[in-house]
Amino acid sequence: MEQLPGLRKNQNFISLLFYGPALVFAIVFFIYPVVSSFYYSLTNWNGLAQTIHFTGLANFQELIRDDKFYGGIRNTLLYAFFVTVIQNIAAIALAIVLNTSLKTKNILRTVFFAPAILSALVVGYAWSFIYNPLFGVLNSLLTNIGLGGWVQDWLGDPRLALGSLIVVTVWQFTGYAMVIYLAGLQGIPEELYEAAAIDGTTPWKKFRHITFPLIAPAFTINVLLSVIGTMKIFDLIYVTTNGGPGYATETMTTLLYHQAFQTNRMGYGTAMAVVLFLIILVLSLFQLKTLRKREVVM
Amino acid sequence: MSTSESSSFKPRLVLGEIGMLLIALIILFPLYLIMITAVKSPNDIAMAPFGWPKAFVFKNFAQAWQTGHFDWGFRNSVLITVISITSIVFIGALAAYPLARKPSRINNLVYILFISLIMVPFQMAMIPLYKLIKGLEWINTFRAVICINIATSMPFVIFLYTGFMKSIPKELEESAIIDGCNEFKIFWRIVFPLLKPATATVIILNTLGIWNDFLMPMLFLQKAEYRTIPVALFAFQGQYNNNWSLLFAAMTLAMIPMLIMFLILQKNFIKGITAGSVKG
Amino acid sequence: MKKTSLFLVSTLILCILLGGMVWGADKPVTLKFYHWIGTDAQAAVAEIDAKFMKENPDIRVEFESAPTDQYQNLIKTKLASGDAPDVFGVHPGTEVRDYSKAGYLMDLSKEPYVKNVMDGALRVTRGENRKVYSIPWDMNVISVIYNRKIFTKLGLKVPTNWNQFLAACEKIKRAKIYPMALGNKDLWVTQLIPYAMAPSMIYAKNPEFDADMYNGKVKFNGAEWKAVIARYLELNKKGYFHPGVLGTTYDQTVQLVATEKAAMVVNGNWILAPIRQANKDLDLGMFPMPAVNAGEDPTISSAVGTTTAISAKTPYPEQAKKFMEFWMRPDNMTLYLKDKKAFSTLKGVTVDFDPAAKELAPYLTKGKTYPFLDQSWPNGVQDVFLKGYQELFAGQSVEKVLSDVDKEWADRTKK
Repeated sequence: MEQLPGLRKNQNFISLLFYGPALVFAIVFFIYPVVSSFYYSLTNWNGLAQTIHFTGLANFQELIRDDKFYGGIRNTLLYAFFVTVIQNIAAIALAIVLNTSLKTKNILRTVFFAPAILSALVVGYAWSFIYNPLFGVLNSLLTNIGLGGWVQDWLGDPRLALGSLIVVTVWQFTGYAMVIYLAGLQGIPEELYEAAAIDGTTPWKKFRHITFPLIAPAFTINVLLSVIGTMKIFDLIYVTTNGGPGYATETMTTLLYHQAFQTNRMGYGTAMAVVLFLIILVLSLFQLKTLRKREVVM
Repeated sequence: MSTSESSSFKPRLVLGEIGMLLIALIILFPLYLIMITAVKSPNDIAMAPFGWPKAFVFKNFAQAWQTGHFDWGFRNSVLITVISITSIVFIGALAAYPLARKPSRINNLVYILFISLIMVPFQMAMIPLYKLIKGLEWINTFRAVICINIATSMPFVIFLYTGFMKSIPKELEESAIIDGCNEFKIFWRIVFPLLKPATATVIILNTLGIWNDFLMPMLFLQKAEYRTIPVALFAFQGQYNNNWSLLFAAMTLAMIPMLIMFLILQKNFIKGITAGSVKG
Repeated sequence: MKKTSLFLVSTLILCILLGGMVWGADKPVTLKFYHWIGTDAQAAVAEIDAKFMKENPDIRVEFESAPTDQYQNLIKTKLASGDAPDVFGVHPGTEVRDYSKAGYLMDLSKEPYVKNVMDGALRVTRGENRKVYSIPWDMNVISVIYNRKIFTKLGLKVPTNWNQFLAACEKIKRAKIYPMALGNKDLWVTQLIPYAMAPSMIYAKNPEFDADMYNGKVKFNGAEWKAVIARYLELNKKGYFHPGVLGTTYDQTVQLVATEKAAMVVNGNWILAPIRQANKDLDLGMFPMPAVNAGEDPTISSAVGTTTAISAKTPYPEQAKKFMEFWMRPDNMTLYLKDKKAFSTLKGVTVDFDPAAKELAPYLTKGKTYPFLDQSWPNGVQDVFLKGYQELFAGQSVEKVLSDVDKEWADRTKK
């Protein structure tokens, strides 16, 4: 749209009126507190005292030498990676199957989505029961079907705990991702598949060359949502293992919450939050760049 | 659609149905667990945590409702959620309009500002936020929680709305401009009604988040009469003694509104996700 | 005429003003009372507050509760933002010291009821300047809670030294019952067995052990603590717990005891309430963890659980002090303790809250007790230790865990 310079200034002013309210809310109640907390990361405040001492980059220097912090980063990245990959593969697969003319499609769609409506508290309690090593359902089931040797301490074994939590998240949100993929699939015209059927292509080729490229936008959104959501994961871990056993399931958010609020090291905890934010920022920018390229505009 | 043609695929279809039903059962199991635990007595839960209830203790629900003050909880959760969501929809859609339609240096910067906020974890802002709310004397007020809900949801809502708007053809708006309509009218009469699917998506996603949120309402709504449902659930956790029957009964009660909402809105939700994500 | 009416009017105004001041003084004061005891002792708190308000019609009490986990974060946030309640709960030991140092707590040393409180209990409510900044409301004991029926069936007597204890565990294990339930998935549970043993094994021989730690004379990574950990792990190696302790929660140990699948559990007296709720027909008893040699008396782990303080900045100091004094009356304390199921901190007051607890009484009167260890440690050390216990059970070396705790101690005590 061609515009005269005077009109442009007017346009910008009108635009401001439109996004003004949102901007005001965001600045006052979100940006300002976040920026203030950046300030705390440069202090050794304990969250309690009335006076705050500026310590510069001391917290960050300590972070670099803190191997629990690296453990936290490692767990966060592992968790984010596996949940994203497994969830999206499962969601695509389920969406494809559900996209065929199954009679129970609508009910199934609702059923699969249902866990997403639960709060972290509810999910945590229910799964702690299931994973109980002595009388939990999982172990009882395994014993009853003769796989007694597979019985484990799912949340108490440091080698398994993170994996067990990954399973819980996949359970909770695969349906959610599936619904998005299902919508994407429904936008693919029949003709493309029919043409491919005439050419005699295999199902896998159909998927690779028709389905997958055309659901790329849904893929982008889901992967972005998964990565950001899992990097920020807190509630579930807090309620089920609280970072344990030991430090086996500590993520950056549980560590920072612990430091900031439970051991009175608000400054140090905030420094962790700053690092977490930077990591998410880098990852998100990287994803946006690579994923947007693959999308096919309809 | 892809494999439904010839009759030789029918057995595969049946297998597919059975497979999906099995998966559905696995998915539903934890929900089943929550609901049957809700109707057991503490003794029954201890003796047979996964079994069928020895006796159905339906009065758990009534007791949970009373002890957890669900009358207050529901009122508060509903009030906060409805006001927050309505505000979020309007403020977010309004904001997205120029960002989607009027690309300019300033607008692009504003857009990037909002999007980058998606990545910020809430824990970072907690204490400065508390100091701010305290300074405004807004502790124990709903407006504090509502304002924070609006602020923290803007990034993703604007992301969704701008994406969706870009897929709406511009012709309608362009002809309205030629006709001399002001921007605001254009937005209200033409664009906003077309946003219905995206709005449904925004509603579902944010309602889930706000309804189940416990950290923030716990900080700012401390008086018992102002507590939202998730915070009220904590009332069942003693320092050393959890009343599991009541807790699970309360959790079941808390789940129901979300379930109903999803069932009602799901068709529009699908449409919204389609357009928003496929064209996004 | 005008002068008189002027005089009358001004007198009237003066009267109204003065009367207003008098009435203003009678305006009800509202005390904000914030604590975590609202869930476990809700009924007692409501009753006592109501009694107080009846006796003092010009004072209203507004009680708010939060579950323990969240309570600490919430109270810290409130204090840091200048939103302190008038009367609020403070955890004994470390927290009292930290908060009093930051100037948030009122000095209560000269209050009349302080002399009625046991000295041992007051120890953990003093600030670094030895003044009393908080009042202990209840005490808990960590001991072995055991199923008397199982013991009788197996012909077992209460063990009074370590070897007898091991022998009893062995016999129970042979009878295919889990000797002890252990809920190490919950961080706070991991420390209970060491807490039950360390008083006898370390502090009975050297009560100034912690002071020595502050002076750098001893470390965690030394003979004394290694011995405690060795016994803890010995119990695990001999199979006297059950499979999957790291995945078992406190609640699940309650279930194990309630369903009689486990004969014993080492925990505080607070566990009696949920066990009874799950199975009211159990015959339970309590005995001190006998981490001693034959012939020696064990030192019992007993500590203040709940303390309450008055805000240093409260606008109503007199009313707040009155409120505290009311709570410290023996009749009111008894009401509270019966509901909370805990021991009294007042001299000469015993509350019969559970038949099992009675069995411990003779030990307690002997006076060989020591508080929960973290109450004299700097903030942050306990957290590292708790994680460390979980790591030990996952196979980490004792040296590494103890030196991690030492490192945290060093970090927290350097100025």
